[in-house]
Amino acid sequence: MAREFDLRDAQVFAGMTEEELGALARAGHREVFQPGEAVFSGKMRARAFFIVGSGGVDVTVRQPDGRSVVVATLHPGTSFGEAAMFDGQPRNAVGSARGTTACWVLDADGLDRLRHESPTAATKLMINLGRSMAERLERIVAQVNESADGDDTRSSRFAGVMSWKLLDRLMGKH
Amino acid sequence: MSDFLPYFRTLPLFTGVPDDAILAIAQRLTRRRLMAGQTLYHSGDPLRAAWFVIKGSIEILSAGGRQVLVVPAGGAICLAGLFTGHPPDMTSIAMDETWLLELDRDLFLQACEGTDPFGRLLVERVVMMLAHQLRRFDSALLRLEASAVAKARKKGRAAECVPEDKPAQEKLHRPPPNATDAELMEWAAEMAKRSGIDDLDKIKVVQGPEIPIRRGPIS
Repeated sequence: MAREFDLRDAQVFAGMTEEELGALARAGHREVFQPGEAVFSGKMRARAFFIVGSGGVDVTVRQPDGRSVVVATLHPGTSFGEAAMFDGQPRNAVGSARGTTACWVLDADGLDRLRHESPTAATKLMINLGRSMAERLERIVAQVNESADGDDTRSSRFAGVMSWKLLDRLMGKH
Repeated sequence: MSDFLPYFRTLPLFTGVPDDAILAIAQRLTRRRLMAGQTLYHSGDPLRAAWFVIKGSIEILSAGGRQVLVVPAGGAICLAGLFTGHPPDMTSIAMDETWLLELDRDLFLQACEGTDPFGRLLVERVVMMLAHQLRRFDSALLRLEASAVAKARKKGRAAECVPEDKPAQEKLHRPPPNATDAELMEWAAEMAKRSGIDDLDKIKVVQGPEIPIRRGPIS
């Protein structure tokens, strides 16, 4: 079996002292999921942030016609749920374990405990999560912009404009 | 600042925050007023602040001059840049008389390093707003991506459409190059349908000449 991802290498724990990492370890917990078991879904674990330690997580989205489509697989070292941990809205997708999968989980209660036990660790985590989300948001926006202005073919321009229009409409639904 | 308190209370930045904390945070921010057509920042300008729209609205134009989004009252602009410091790659212009709260990036970074409780609250609120923005993009992009995957699967091309090592949200679907008008419209209708939008006519597709950027002074 492959060695589990060392959580100390996770980007969201950058700059933490050993003491702060200890507080984080106590605030979160390790969960093991059996193959096919739901890791998150809808309101289940809505306010939780995960880092995949071993195995993998298939992310599935249900289509309007009822069919489900796997849109990504998350591998060891990947973190997810940063946004969900703060807004507590139901998940947009369903995550299920691909093989036996271990995750480190920090939920809203754990974050509250961390704020109490180690405010500096909580602030550093918050800033690291903010940076991670900011980078992801900028990549998405850059890609949509590239579609809009990247090359000069009519279909690319059309795709870019449609992407923004569709995004705008879809975002308005939430 | 207290005369603006009723407006501040309506901002998502201050949702659930007591009035005294709102005023304490607002004192760290600068109030700005833009007239219609006045530029907030140009694409490529150094990132020095983020803004929260109190009243009015701001249009966001791509580098090519196309309007891509309108940020109404309550919205935030350049939040991601507070963390990354990357210059904006779009241009922002006031659509009408617009009031903003400006959060200086240096001040934000000081708040990140400091122990002042109001500074920490400000950082936390900014992270929460960023999470909300990301969630809205993610939600929309997941649905777009799922529609693209479903369509590709129909044609037996699912494997090439979903690279396992790349988050799906970062891959957008494009219509075929050199598509005819009919093919483009068919593609758009399919994307809209798969994304749960049943009335494509409500989506205005701009295919005309580029929208000129109205250059105005930065106030």
